[in-house]
Amino acid sequence: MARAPRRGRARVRVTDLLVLDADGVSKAASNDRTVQAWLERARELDADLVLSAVTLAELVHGRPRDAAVSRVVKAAEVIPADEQLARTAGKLLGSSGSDATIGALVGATALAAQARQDAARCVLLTSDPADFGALLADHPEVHIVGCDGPATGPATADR
Amino acid sequence: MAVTKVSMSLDTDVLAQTRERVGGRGVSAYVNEAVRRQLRRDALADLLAEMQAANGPVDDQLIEEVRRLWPGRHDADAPASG
Repeated sequence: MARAPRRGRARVRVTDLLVLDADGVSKAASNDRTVQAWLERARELDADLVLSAVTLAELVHGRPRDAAVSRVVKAAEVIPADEQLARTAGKLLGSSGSDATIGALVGATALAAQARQDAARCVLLTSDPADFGALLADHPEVHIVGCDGPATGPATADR
Repeated sequence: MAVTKVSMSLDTDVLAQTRERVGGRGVSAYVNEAVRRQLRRDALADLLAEMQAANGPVDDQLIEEVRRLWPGRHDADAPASG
């Protein structure tokens, strides 16, 4: 077993990641039952929750609702959109022909979070699985699942 | 990120094992990351408690469906990890 720091330093090991997009966070903030089930599953698996900083820009607008969003944000790691991540997002846009810049930044965030943890499984919960499926078509390491209505989206086993 | 130097006590074996894993210089970063992760876990527990207070427990059928889509690593039908 490797114990020497890799890529600069040893990280706390995480085996599962759950990335939420703005809809996922918004639904969590309003106690949506489907998202509640996904979060319960995250706890069962001791998964780490991940958000993009861009998602905060979509949701935190200096209004009373911010408090409900913030209790979700506190449970997650917020990954900043730096130059490297933005470049990855740009490549996702280029390869998919999509113009969903925010989605690409969220997708790049999922890729970055997954790449930091050797062999971590990464699930991206969104109300827009089709758009993310196009953006991340070349990245089966991110499993995209839908949060609209009863659990929907492609089974991770099929990806 | 602003950092504050603190003096704290750790169990001797915890410190020894941490040093063994991350090396002498990586201890603060590792402890910091571990505490951050535990804070997120605790916040998730708080959030889930609030959701459960509002909704009641998750419907059995729904959680089973989520477990099928996101199986445990050791479940027979777990997908190859990415």
